Amino acid sequence: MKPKFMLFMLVSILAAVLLSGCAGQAGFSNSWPGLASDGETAYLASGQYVYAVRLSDGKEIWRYPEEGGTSLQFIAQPVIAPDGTVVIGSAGSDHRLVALDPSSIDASTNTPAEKWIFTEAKNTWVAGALILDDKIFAPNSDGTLYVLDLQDGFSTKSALKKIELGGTLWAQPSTDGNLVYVSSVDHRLYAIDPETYEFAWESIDLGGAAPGSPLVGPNGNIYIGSFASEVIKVDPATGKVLLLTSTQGWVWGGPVTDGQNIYFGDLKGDLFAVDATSGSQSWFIQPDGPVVGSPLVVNENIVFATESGSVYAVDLDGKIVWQREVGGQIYTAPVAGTDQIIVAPMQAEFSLAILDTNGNQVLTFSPEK
Amino acid sequence: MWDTLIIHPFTNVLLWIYSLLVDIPGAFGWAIILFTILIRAITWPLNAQQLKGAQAMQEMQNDKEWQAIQKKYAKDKEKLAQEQMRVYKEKGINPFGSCLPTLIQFPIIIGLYQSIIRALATAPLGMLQLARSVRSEIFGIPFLNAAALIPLNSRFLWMDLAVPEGIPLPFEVSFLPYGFPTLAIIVAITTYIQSKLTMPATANPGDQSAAMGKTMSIYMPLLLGYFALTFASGLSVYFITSNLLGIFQYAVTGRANWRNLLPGGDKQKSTK
Repeated sequence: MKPKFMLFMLVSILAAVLLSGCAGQAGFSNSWPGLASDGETAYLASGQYVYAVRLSDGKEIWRYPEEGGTSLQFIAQPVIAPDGTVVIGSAGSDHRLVALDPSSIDASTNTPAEKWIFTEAKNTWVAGALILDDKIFAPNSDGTLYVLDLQDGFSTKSALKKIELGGTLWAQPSTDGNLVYVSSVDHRLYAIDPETYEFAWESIDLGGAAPGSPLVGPNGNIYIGSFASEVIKVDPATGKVLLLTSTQGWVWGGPVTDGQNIYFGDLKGDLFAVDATSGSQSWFIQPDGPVVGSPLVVNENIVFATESGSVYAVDLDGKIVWQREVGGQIYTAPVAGTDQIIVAPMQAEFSLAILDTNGNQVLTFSPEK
Repeated sequence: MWDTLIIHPFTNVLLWIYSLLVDIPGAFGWAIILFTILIRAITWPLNAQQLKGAQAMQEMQNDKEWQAIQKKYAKDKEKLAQEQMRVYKEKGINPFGSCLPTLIQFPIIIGLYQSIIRALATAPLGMLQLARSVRSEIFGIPFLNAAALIPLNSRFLWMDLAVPEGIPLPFEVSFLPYGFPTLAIIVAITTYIQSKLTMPATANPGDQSAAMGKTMSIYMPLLLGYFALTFASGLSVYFITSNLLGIFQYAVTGRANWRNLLPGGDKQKSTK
């Protein structure tokens, strides 16, 4: 009986360890990093910290918080206000949205001051917020779009308005200046008046989850892709929907535009260029893996990253200009520096890769422990 | 390999059942219950074998030859083990036959837990993994319209199946962050009842099998109760359904020893 009991104990312990190992998936921190840039500095939201990295030398300028803990987890795209304030929400059990003041760094801890904090959200912050004039529109996983007043001067903010949309909000809202557009994982697209907080039209059923941001495209139309394997075009005045194009795979990242075409990838591993007006496909290419993050239009090139860890630059005719294998898996959308392209791979030797506009990897950044 | 053999099939079956029930409130909870019934039906022969094996092992304790070798080789453990194996072989008993089905439960538990977490996809990476797991068609036949199903509704009765269950308390208890753990208690009680029902009564005070059974009847409820307390409540729904089905199986096959639930009920009257 003894070996039998020992075997049972061993398997029980193994089960406990394996279950514990996957328990992290039940949490909300299990995701790819958030990334933003103001041209000179890259802001990386990765795990327990937000890092500010100087693009000229790849050095860490500051990090927040001083001491990381499991309650704070950062995966949302940091948002940079016109005054340089960095707004970021936590996807950990501490559901704070915090504004950091990079102009006020504690020299002993190398940590920026908290300008204000907002703690009324009930769930995680996966999406970046939208700043429009003096307001911030912050979508939370609890299905609420929180509107905050940026100029009220309070260090602990209360919501100016809580717009309950329902479902799960993982995408940064977009705006054309007149309306705020919010897509949800629960298949909906909303258009909200930023002054009255009224819905401009009844929300649209997208037929699938839309974790990517809506695009305000040429002629003011709204473009959004979804897991229904299609990209639609919406007339912002009426909310009338037109199918722009269908894809083979689910569309995750929001589309981008150069004013003529819109560009987006899918999980099958395609990158499409589609005429924004007619919906006719200008070209498509098949890179080395699925395209999760939004592409980036920079210097007449479309730059995008793949799950296989490659970064591509394609010209406006669909010809590959360069390809760089960065390594790891890249789900985060690349961002542009002054004359750099920044990508944030997962499970790579470094957390940031800084490329020049010819695709040469000039610097990398790995946080010091 | 693990994903291909366990997680992907489990996730797809769960989603398929969910797709049939999607209009019912708490559809994912019901999907877990139906999935558990399916797993129990598939493993019914194994469980029957477990019961049979346990009974054979129990009867062995009263076998004269068995008792004789226990006495004869009491000081020579190696020889005793050899002799025990010989007797097992002669009588056609697999000493591990009764614990094999229990061991099979563990990959199922782990696989189910990972499938529940994957299906509920509470974070972007989980959603991406789910996108990889779902099959819209099998052998060219349409199977799932996953795009329409995702995200799943994780609410079931008063629970969110993606997080540990607890009824909020009016005061804070540091070791109960989710509140009063109703489901964990039900898991522990049903596990205890199930293990007690399968314990044969014994008259032999030196019966190692009975001693281990007794230990297990305390250890298992605590272990599964801890799992229920710590992990997503979807797993607790599986545990409770599985335990109730187990009790049902023992009852309908006439093997449930209901007297064991009473104090001292696990002692058989001596025939001497």
